[in-house]
Amino acid sequence: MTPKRKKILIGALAVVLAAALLCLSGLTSTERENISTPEQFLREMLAPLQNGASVISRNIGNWGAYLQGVDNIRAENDELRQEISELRLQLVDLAEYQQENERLRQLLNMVDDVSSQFDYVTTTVVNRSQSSWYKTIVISGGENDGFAVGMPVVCAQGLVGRIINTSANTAEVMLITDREGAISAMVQNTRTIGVVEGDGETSELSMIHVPYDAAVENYQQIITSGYGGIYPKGLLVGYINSIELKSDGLMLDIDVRSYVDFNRLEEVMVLKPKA
Amino acid sequence: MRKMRRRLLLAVLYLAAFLLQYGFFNNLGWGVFCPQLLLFFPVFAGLLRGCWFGLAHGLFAGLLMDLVIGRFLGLNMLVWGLAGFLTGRLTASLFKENYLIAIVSVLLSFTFGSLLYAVLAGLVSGSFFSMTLISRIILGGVLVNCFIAPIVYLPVYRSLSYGWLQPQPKRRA
Repeated sequence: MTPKRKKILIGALAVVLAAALLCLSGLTSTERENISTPEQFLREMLAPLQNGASVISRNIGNWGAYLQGVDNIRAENDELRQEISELRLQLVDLAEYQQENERLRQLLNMVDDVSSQFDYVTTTVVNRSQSSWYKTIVISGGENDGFAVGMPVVCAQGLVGRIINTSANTAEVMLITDREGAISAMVQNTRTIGVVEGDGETSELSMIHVPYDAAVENYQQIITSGYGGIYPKGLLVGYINSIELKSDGLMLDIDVRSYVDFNRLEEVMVLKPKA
Repeated sequence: MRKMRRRLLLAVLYLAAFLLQYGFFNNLGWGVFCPQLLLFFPVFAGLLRGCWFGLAHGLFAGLLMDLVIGRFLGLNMLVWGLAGFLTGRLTASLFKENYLIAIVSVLLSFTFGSLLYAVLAGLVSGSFFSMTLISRIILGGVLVNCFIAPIVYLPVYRSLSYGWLQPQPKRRA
């Protein structure tokens, strides 16, 4: 074969390979229900190691916090004690409301609250985002524990995200802060509907598609609306931090803050539909 | 025997880099400042062994990244294969003894690779990453990886020159 022909052949092969890889990446750019066997193998291989690493990093973090000053921790402890006593009083009121709510629901035959539809399965976070481009976490527990694609994931502070793929013993969760993790949500007090989405860069969220005349105020709670079929209604998303009128004058740009610290997630709960 | 030893060492290095990157560093929560150890394989292979070795290592390291990330399968293969190949092509006539060349190669490869990844991912999915995210990833990655580059480069260079990674001399007819 002449050098010129060899060059043409290599060039043609490179173009074919590049086109094939681009096609493959295009096909796998969206969520996949099933991940391939090599991906499952690597995930299973990494899971125990990641679990160990997360324990080490947590310990390092704890030491860092300790070194920051015992005085700060004491002051914070006093504040938290005070807050706990205030919350205890509120809890009594809430228990009353809950009982009243349950009685009224029974009267109306309503069974659409989250706890009646889902079991909360607690699990631990074994790894954070595999790449800086995406906001995901890997949790322990997978198909063997009954986890499936689409199941919502929450923690004590509110909504975390949803499962996007599973292996036998792990599951990957797309956080609501990912640029593809948008959710249908509403303002709890006024029932104003909008879409909460992340920017994919920070842990900040914004609520869009809210008309300029919507009755919204700072510090109002945002919950899931139940539309779209992925997240059930009533999961806490965050609160309104600031409101601005968009440049077109028709829509509001609402800055939403989640109560969840997405960089320090340790335990989460998967909402498993009741059988 | 030497060939076998070299392949074994390479396999161990790949495994160590892979487990460190995705099992440990990733979990420390450093975000964009997380070291990309697998990136050193295509860059240093291209630099020290030529464009075809850079391409081969880029394809393999990219495949490992793709399988772990699980999105846009094949894109890291394409990007890092190309980065390794171009590193080999562009540095063919340069002296490799200076560790500064390793830093510059990592800087350019990482910037080129990240930009290309962002553009191609945007083109195939129709949804582009924001410029803020791209610049944050490039800046953070460049800072960390350029800091690590000379630390990794010197032992690799020594091993390739007269150590276990030394290639087998070509037989002459």
